[in-house]
Amino acid sequence: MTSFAVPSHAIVAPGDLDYPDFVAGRSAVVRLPETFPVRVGAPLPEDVCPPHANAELIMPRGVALALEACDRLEYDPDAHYGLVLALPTLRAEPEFVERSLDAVGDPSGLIPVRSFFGEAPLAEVAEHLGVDGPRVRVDTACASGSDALIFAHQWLEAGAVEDVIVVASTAMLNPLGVAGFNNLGTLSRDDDLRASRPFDVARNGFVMGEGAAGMWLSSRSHTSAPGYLSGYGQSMNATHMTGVPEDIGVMLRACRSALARVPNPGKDLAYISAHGTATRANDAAEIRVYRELLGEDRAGVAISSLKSMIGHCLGASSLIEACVCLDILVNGQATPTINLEVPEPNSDLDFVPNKAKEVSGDFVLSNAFGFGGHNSSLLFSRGQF
Amino acid sequence: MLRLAAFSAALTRPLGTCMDLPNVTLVEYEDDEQRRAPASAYALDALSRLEVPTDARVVTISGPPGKFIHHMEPIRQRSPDGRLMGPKLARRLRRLHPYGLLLCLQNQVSAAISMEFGLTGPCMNLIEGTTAFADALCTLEGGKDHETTLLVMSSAADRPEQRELTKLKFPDSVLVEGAICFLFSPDGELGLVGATASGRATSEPKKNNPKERPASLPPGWPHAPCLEGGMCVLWALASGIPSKRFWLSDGHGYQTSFDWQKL
Repeated sequence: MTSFAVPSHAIVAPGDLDYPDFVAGRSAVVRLPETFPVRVGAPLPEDVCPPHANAELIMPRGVALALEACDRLEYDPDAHYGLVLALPTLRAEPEFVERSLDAVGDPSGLIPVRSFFGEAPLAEVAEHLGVDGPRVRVDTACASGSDALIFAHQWLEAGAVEDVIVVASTAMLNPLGVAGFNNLGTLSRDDDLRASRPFDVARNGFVMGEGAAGMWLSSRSHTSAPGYLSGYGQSMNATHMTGVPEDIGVMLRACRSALARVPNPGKDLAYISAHGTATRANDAAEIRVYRELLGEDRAGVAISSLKSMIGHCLGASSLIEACVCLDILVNGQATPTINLEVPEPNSDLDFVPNKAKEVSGDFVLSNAFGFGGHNSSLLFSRGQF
Repeated sequence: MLRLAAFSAALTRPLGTCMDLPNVTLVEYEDDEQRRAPASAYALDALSRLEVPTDARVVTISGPPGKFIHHMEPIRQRSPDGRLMGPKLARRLRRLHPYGLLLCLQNQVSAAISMEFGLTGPCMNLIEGTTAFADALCTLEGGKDHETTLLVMSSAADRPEQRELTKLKFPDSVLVEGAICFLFSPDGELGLVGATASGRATSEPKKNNPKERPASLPPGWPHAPCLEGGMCVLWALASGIPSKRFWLSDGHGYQTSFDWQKL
């Protein structure tokens, strides 16, 4: 598998936090207004992507966040780009739902929300970036960001383009979106700003976040690139829409495909970015995956969950985490898993509890295990590999 | 180019002589209450007529899932001011069915076929893109690790809650929904399908022009967002077209193309 350079990356994370904040263990989790069915979440600050007041055409918040990520991303404006947009459903945004309900018998009411539908979101982001090459939109739920990078890698390998911009965005941190996840029983209902507790025995669900990220992937030479996308793996669980499989073999297969050219993951990996949602089932399955994957050397690899600080940004989460993986490769500081007081028993793994730690090594692995059973693993390397 | 080994389709309206092809059937959506959106039901129906290895590489192209908004109606009806986002929202939202959220997720087609048929290979789900068919072919041609590739297109753009939205784009068109599946393998003998060229933006975007078909299909055929690439191949198969380049357009100034060659 070819390594492709990542010349630049950018995030729009809850609380507008960035890598130095993560190293410091800062949390973006705040109390939500009473219109929400749960007490805590991880929103963006109000001054980042404020709502547009254009009654004629309502821009989906998911698109607005994607455009913010584009604006923060440095890229060569003269290059010919492809675009892979990881933007899961916009159908739970309140403006869309309210107007769709009103439109029964009066479809003219849908005109202001036409940009929610069909190819319009992808076209909007492509136009904003000035992309004139191929473009697609990916949705594999919480693995969308990782899978978008994989699709971009495949385009580069196929020679379709030399440069691809990958953008991931999710904005379901609204009462309707939160209710959907809450009624499924996947959210923490704690009234506690430390409710996002991946790998802790007291974890009881995830805290919802929102955000976006962008990454430029290139098959051209970029000598100053901070890292390279050097491997990936995908698999499907084929078991349950929201659950994880009892047999972790399929999750392992995704990780091992990504690590195909790394002979000894337990010794060669500097860091693993866990999916680490803080749900009972996900974290328990991940612990089993990492124990099996790393074998005897498991205690020597730093593994943490960024979601402990920014909650779960759904489709954007894995691209945000991929960006932070590159920062960790460059800076040698693994971000911590905060709110981890009592680790799950028999998890003899280094979850980097509450305090960043120095790491060394040439590879980092970023994992995403999404609703619907999408497993997606990315391998980043310091150099071309 | 990819070698087409098998195909199937479940469609809500006839597509000319395509309905004479084996494994292409006319279907009606049967509501199974909360559990499954129409787009998933069509995909399961179509795929039930193919034999797919469980380690096959899978790409799904998903259009509108077709059933979500109506779950919000009971919540709005309980609003003191008649607005969904009105007073006592958090309390009213308790009535949202636990499966309600799942019905709006646009990866439910890939999830449903994976669960139903035990597919555990790599999977990519592209959404809301008529042009995505050619863009997906472009990556599939480079796939060396998986001999068999399954490509599933599924869309429910003609459901009541979706129809008016679709018609904003295709105002005077008849719509079709359903699913089309293609199985590609090295020993496929039905034809070659490929898109080695990348997509390109058209120089003059033509938005919402009902006279411009988004695909090079026969006049009078119904519209089907996300299915049109598959409809082109079915047409080529049914008509015995020896070779042809098909064009797909997103209506926003972006076009892709793919080539068909009969074997």
